[in-house]
Amino acid sequence: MSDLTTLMSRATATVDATPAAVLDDDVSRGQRARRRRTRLVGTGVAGAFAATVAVGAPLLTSTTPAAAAELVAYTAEQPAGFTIAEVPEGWHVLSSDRSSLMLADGDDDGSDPSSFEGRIVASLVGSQSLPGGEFEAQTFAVGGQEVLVYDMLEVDGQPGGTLGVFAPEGDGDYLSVQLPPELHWTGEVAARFVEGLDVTDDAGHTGG
Amino acid sequence: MRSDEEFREWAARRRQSLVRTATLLTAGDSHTAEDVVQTAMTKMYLAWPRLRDVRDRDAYARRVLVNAFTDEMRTSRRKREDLRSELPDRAVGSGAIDDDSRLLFAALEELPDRMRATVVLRYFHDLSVADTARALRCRPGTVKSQTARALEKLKHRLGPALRDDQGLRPDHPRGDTAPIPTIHATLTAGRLS
Repeated sequence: MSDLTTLMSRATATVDATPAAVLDDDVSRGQRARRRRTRLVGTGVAGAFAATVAVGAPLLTSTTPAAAAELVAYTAEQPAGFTIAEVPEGWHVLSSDRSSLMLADGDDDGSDPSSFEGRIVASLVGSQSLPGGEFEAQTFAVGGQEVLVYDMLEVDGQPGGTLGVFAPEGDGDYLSVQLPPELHWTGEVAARFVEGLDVTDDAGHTGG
Repeated sequence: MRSDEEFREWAARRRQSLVRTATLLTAGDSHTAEDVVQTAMTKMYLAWPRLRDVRDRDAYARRVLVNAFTDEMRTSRRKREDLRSELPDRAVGSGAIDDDSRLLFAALEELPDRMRATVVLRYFHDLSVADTARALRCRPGTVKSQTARALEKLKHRLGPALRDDQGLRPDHPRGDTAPIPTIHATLTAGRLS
């Protein structure tokens, strides 16, 4: 006889440690999924920023839906690592450090810090973190720089309303921002918001 | 790429645990468990650049795994209901090495998916009610009620194989145990939708 925890542990005790080949497969599947997500059709970051909307994609609605969050001036204390010009109305800084920034709406108390759903997440990344090819995306010239906005795809390969943004930050770095579907933003609004985000001198990469 | 190397290091440490969890979630179906884990690992890989500084990456992975499991069950059930009125024999995973394990998997299989996930997170991962609720995206009260009902069913199904003093916690209802049933396929026939 045994307790439930012991029964469960014993029933799965013969699950072997993961062979290296399986780990390789995981990484390969992830890489393929990332390529599908960004729908690479070429190579080179420069190509990405030269690209505009690809054919036939349900990308980035051109009109602002009534439910879209309004951008308002950010008046609270600037967070570590970043400066913010505007935020969606009612949103606040949930967390920030040298490498990443998270914003949430007023109902979000931050009780689940590991979740990114329904939140804005920004991070400074190196050029290696960019997909190495052309995006199916739109570019927007904002504040003298080109900002790339694209639909992030779900695992099923379909857009779920989340927007991804890459904005050059100099020295080969990029600000990578994820904008949740709840904002209902067009590409133009997304680009304007990200243009108002800057990293400070002490900001550091999250990766790449 | 450094990110890939870090992901791989994390996967090397945690993948085995995810497979064990998925094996329980799928009631011993090792092939489906591996499919679920592969889906979860792909999601983790895609989210990895954002997860590198997250403190509790494993909690995120658990939630991703449960979501992948739920999706897989929904999909496979739809296929099953569409294609057959009689279920084939299901493979029992390699983890089922003894009678108690086979009995456990059979008992878990009789639980609804979410209830099974609840009891796996609560007892295999020893998560609190609050953490389980976060992983399942439901209210703590739902976790409590689902756990209580699951334990009642498991106790009834497992009988003496489930020792009463630790497996069932004092805050959960207790029912009479039944004799251990004969161990064989207990799946009900799929329904045509």
